[in-house]
Amino acid sequence: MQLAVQGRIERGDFALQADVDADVVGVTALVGASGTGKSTLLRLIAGFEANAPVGVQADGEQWQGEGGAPVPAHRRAVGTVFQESRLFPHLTARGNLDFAARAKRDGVRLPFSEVVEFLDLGPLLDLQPHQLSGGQRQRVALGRTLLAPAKLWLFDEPMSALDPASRREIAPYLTALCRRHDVPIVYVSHSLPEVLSIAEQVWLAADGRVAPVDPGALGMSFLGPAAADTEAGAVIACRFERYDAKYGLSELAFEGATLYVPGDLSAAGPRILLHIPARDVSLSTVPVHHVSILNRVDGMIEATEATADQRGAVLVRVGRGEQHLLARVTQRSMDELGLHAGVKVQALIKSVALRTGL
Amino acid sequence: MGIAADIAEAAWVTGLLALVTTAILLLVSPPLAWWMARTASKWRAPVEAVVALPLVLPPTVLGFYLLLAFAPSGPLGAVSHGLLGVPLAFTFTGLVIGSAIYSLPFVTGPLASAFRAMDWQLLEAAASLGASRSGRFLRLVLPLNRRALIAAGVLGFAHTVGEFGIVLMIGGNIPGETRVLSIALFDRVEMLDYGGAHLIAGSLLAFSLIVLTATYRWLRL
Repeated sequence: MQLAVQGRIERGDFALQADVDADVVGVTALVGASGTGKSTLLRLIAGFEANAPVGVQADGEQWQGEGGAPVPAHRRAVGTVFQESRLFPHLTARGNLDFAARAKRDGVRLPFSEVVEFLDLGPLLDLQPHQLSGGQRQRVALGRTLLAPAKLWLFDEPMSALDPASRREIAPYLTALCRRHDVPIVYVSHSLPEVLSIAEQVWLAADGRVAPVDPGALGMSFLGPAAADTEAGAVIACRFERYDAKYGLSELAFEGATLYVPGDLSAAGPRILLHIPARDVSLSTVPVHHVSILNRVDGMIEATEATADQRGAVLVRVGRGEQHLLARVTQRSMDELGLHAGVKVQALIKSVALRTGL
Repeated sequence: MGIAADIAEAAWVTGLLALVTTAILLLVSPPLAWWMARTASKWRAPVEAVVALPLVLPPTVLGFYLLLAFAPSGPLGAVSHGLLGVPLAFTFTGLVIGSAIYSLPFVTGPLASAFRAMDWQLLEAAASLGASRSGRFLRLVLPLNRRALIAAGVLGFAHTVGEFGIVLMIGGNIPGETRVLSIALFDRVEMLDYGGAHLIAGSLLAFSLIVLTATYRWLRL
């Protein structure tokens, strides 16, 4: 779907400049610190800010903007999962799902039984929302959104109420759905590792603006805007090669090197984005062989920068091909190893650092 | 006709009037209250003021103007009597119209308050699930506010049962047609029949007390 959101919205102290004009395919990660306007962008697309002076176009159709009444939210064929479950309190879980299934509008319509089965909603169907736990409510809300016909799904931190186990189960299902039915997803998450590994594009909300960014650029500034949310780290793009069932590791190609990541990532898209925290990367000036760390990547130091917050810690940018990693190293190690720009190093990455949303 | 039969007839007219009025109000008030609760129109304040007028005006003032409008030469009477053949002044039909106007704020007001307190996030969710404006109203707003709807209906009913001034002005005192209990009570007192007056007054008092107690208990549930 060709999606354009362009204009400026102001609400008291809050202002957001939207500069999005992108072909959304698969999962698009919408990242940024809290309060930067991620939810506002979703509300603009969904039709809940229809009177804002922001233009919204989808596949050439004007949803809102100058010259013409806005298309109301219920006719936009956009399904939204909100941060809160927003279940209808007067209906059972089944009633909530039926509410969505009855919608008449264009878009992909998933079979009731499939959604119920996958999200394991069967035992919950006859319960009232107040009888459900937070995670169960969110699962019902997710199912409800999937059952309403849609051409685009907007997920505003849909997993925040879920435990890690269900999260790991549901995330691959969502990405598979999105590819199978060709319904793109815009996915907001405060967890950069969670969302990046399932995303193909990244939109960044920062400094009063939201726009698509090159994922690799997320780590370009040492404490880039995306990192401000979590911690210093680089975002790298890899390609899935194969899954080694014996060890339970996925092999990813990264600029000619191989990275081993726990779990089966075959369900992810052709391009896998990984967030690698700088504190999980160590540097060696000689190639290391007899070490338990699987992920060893050769590269060259491009730049270094002292961190402001932690005394003695230095962020080192290690380039490889078109991309780079960030490592957090003590000043003492910098001096002892003679690390500075131009030095060839081997970056050692702890596998546990390669956490993904899958 | 015996005294008891006379009172029974007035009670019947009163009950029927309250029932028909309440039914009309439960059709008219929810959309009106929803509009008042949600609109940003500049007409909201004037419309709310008009709806609230019966709260502050003496019923006789309202009755006086309705009487003029209902007269065969008046704007409403001319249309109703002239075109439809239905006279309004001193008829049950006219009484229903007057009662509906008079009790409107007692049904619309509480509903508008309930609607204003509604969780608008649920409305957004319903819209995102493809529910149209009317679909959201019928499938979400009304069921979510069924308690307020019932309470408003009961208040409208009880208030119609208790009206006097407006009936006196536009209905007169026609047995079986426009003589309601409050008028019958007035008659009894005029005739110094305090026994009959006690019967009617006591019944109305007990009825109102019971209905209001039940309503307030229900609202707190």
